[in-house]
Amino acid sequence: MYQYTDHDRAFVQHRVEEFREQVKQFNNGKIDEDEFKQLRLRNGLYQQRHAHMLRVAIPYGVLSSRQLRQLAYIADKYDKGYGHFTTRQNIQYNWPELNDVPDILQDLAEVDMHAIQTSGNCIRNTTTDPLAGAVADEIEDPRPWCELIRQWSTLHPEFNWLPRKFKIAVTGSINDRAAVQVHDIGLRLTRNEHSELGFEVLVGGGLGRTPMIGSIVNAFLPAQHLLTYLNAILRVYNRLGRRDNLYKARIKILVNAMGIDAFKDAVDTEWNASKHHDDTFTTADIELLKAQFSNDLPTANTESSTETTHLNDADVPKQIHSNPFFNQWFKSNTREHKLSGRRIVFVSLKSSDAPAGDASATQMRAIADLADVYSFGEIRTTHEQNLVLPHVAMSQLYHLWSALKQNQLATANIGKLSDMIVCPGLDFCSLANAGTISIYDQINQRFDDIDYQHELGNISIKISGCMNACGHHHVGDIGILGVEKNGAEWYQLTLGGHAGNKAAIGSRLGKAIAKAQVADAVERILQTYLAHRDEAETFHDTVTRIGVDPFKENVYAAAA
Amino acid sequence: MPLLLKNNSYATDDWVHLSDDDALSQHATVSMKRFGSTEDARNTIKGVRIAPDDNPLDLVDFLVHLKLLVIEFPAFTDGRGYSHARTLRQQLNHTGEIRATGDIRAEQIAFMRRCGIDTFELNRVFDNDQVLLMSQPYPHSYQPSYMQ
Repeated sequence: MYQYTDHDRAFVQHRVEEFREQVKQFNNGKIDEDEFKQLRLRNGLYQQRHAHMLRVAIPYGVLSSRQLRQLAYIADKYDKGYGHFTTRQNIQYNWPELNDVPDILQDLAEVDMHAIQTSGNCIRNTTTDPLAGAVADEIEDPRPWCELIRQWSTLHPEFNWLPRKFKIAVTGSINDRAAVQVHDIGLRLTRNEHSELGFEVLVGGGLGRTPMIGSIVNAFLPAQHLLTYLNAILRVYNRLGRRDNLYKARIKILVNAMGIDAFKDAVDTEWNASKHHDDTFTTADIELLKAQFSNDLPTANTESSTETTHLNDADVPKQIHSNPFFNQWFKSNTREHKLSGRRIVFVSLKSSDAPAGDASATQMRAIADLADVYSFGEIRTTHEQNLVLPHVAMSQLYHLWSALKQNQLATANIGKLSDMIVCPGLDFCSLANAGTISIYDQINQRFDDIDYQHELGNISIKISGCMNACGHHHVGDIGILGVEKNGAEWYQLTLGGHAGNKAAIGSRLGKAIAKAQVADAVERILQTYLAHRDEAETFHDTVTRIGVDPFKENVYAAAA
Repeated sequence: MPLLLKNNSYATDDWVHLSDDDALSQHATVSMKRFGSTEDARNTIKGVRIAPDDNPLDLVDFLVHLKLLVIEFPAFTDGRGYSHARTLRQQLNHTGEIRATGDIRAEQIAFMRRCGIDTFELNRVFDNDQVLLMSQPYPHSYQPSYMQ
């Protein structure tokens, strides 16, 4: 993974000292509320319902075990002993005190971490496929490009005061696990007919109040022009994006208003005038970055422990046949690795004991230790609020599973019903209209049978507490949106959303459903699916085939 | 209004900023709209004010005659002027003085300088604490600078 240079360290250190001074000036009344708000947001610090919330950057979802241990330390020292992994691969602390934040940032700086630009109207964390560098279906590892974008976007002097936040996602695989179609800029690594590397560039995707799938603004951008082209898009957005209405200020609104052709013309005009100036980079630059990521994994199929039992490296572990629980976990929580003899392992943060995506400091330390033993000290965060150990030896899987189980991290539910995406909701967030964690609990209680979940196959429930859609409800198989009606919490359901290659916005099912009725509604939806599905058809495919009406009929049938 | 210079010292601003109705005079600026719409203005005026929704490229034929460009920042959160400055330096190769005016906060000075802005018309003099922060720039940056 990327190793900070002395320059990088000095930069982050300066940021910490700058913010410490800004907090002091704010406390002394030298900086007003409005100004301090903008400064603290650009260091990830929100004011929330009960307390401040600090969002720490995990660039493109890559963490070292050392960093994860420090995140655990911070959770214990300054917070309530846990952290929350987010839908943009970052981590959030819900209870920091303002005057502790400079010290928290200093502790983060010790392990080459920061909270720069995780909020505010600027370029946010660039996210990517959590399986990058480990998975077989990859055209090119996206992470060196993410690191390039990270550096380009960090305190870019021109783009720190945009009309609104700006989110970039990159995928290097033919299967999009980074939701690039619902980002302000989505980048798909690709090769042309001459095998040259480039990007398909999407623009104007996003969720929130006006969900939209991104449009192709450039079908093949040669890779060496990545930064100059991004510059051109950002400059057009900075100049022309709406600033009169907070809810109409994202780039998707601009692209929609101009039309993709006119928008593309504007970008190309800007790009042609500037492509040989700013932000060019050399082949040597990118090759240096690539080398940092390709060193993560030994090329030989070596073991990382002194396991004496010799197995054929390509075999599945023998416990597959003898232990049905391990078998179940292997099926749902592990994925094929590009190297035979290794396996990608998901660490489920969706046990029913805690809110989705939360990990205690104890769990974080356990995962860090397991990463050292089993995964070359590397962990990934996913935008679905789970973690990944990317490079586990096949012969070590059973040991790892046993250890994960002891820490409530082995719920065999990745991609299944209880692997829900859940925003913090009314319990934490001052923007929310309704609680979400209680809905997650309600659904978990109703459907606690893991065998049934496996029987259902892959299905995604995504829950947002308000129209800002941080829970990505628009792109869930079942989307649940909290709304406020007459002072009570109600829930609007959508069906048929999808975040991957064939991205789609879900369709509204019908009238909002009362809080106590949500699990019932979900149960009826699942009954309808099981009644109609063709053999091993996924929920997504059944909905695509039969439409929303059969589900609607069943859900609202007994309402009278 | 205090005018902040390159070395963080202050001077007094001797340019006059004319409204769209004021009589034209020499050492003065007018809005870009007025500059573009009156030949008189183009013949007399040596300074132009660029509003956030103006396009600096419209000045391409006139830059050589202008002594001062003023980029307006009506709200400190309105970042359009940063792009204007960079376009002037990068695309139009302008080397004359570019000034920022409006709601400018101390921590924005370094960024504006890197976009190519030379001087700053402030609402008030920054106090010592703010100047201290301002005079300690980042040890390095990830993007090229257009500081003149």
